[in-house]
Amino acid sequence: MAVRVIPPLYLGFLVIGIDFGDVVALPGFVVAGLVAIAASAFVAGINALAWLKLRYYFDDDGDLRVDSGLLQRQARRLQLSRLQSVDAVSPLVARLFGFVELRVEVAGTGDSRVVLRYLRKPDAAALQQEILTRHEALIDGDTTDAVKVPALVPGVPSVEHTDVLATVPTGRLLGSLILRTTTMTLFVLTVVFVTITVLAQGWAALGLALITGGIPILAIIREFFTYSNFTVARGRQGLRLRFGLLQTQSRSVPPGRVQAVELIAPLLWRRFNWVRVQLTVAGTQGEGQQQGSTVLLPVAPREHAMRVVSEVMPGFDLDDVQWTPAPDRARLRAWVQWRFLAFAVTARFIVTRSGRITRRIAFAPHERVQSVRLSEGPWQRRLGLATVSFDVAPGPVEVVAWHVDIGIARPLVNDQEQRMLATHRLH
Amino acid sequence: MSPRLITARVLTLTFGYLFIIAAIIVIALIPAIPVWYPVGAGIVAVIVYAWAWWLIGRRVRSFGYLERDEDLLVVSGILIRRLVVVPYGRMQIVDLTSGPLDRWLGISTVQLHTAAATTDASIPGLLPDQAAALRDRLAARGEQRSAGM
Repeated sequence: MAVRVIPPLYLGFLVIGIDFGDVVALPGFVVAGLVAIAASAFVAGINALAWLKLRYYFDDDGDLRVDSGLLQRQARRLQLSRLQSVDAVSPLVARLFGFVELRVEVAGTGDSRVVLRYLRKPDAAALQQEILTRHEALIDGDTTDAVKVPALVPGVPSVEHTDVLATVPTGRLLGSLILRTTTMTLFVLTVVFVTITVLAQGWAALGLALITGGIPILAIIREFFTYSNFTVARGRQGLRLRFGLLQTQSRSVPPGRVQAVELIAPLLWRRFNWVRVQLTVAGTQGEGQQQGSTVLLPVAPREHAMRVVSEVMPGFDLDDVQWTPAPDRARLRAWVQWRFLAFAVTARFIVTRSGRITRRIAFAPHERVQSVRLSEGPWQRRLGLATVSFDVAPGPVEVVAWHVDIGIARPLVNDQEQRMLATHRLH
Repeated sequence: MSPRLITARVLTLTFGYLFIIAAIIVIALIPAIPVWYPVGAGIVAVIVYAWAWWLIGRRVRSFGYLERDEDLLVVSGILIRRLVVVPYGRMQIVDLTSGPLDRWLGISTVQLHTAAATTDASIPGLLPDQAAALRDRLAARGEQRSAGM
């Protein structure tokens, strides 16, 4: 079991301890330490009692009930027919003692998930299995077309992944993080600032150097810890992602819920042919990130990446895409990225390309596009250009065709709308 | 769009301007400041006000919508022109809103929401009856063609 103490509390103890040090004739820090230990024991005791009070069971309606809390009892009820995901997470300390945290998420707005903090691993696996089985039974039970059941998202932690599609070697992850454009820019700035400091023999630029040097290092460490040991495997109901160094996270990507995909290739990655794959998945709470955001692969060679992408977006082939580039005069409006700007329409997808230093290819199936927008700024109008945006569910991926020739843009909006309708009628 | 929307927006603009005028008067009352400071500021404020008034008129007149068989088109903007196409089947919520000023003037706004947050389709300055009718029509069509996500 992990002990959680609010750090500012310690500060208070330190102050009290130093104050009492004069009274009890012990060095202040010793008293402070003792008080802190006592407080930790107290908090640990409370947590332990709360843990003993944690109850979960299935009620007569087949809903999962979770009762928790020591003084303030909390009773949650989760409808398993609306299940979105059951994820197992094991923070470092918990893992040492063989405990896991189980996160159960159901479809709905607001706080639609319950975190069962610290179950024994076998218990967690059993509960997860039970939830999944019950959920499946529920969906099979009523398969009337009116019921739109979200696809199931398992993330069984202790089961071996038999069908691993891709892994990310540690070295490649670290290299990719260092070679990111923002990181490199900040490092170059740091070098510049340090040089200025040395040459000018003053200290003015050193403060800036600390910031420009510190931020990327912190960012690299954070991402490195988050995405270490990245594994993509094929599960029963979609892809299963597992990653994390200290805290192992597992997440599931049911292909039916993926709204849009983005391939990102920063300047220095292209020499290695690396890309990052990012997804917008409907109805997920991105962990501390943007809503709906899921990193499918933090870094991978393009061919590997495309293989994994074809799992979530069957039928997508980047080599098949017939690009319509932005006209040359777009250079007058977007002088850096005009050369790479393009869009493409395939039978099932709308694909857009943008960026010069960091290249981005974004695409979405026609049936996932919610609305189409065409906008013309004053300068664009003079050049006969327009920007066409394909609105998809909220998330990190934006499918936008920049600076399209107006003569192509208007039919594009019209046709897209036709395609959206056509795909609609199929369902 | 009803010309009352112009009135509403001009009133909002004028209300904001009251603060600017008050600030200019306060500055004019401070003896240490040369008198041409507040006078200059006043002239600039009047020019900007006139320009904004003219712009509001044009911007309001630029709004338009077209109900087609399968989708709704909304156009807006003069400097940046926008066109939004929303198929009826993708509409999730049709909102009808009117603030206190709108109610006083008798206008309302119909706004469409899809599963995408970036869909920006709102039709302001409709007469209440017209707006309610539009909302009902859109909602009905949306329901007929609803396919969800």
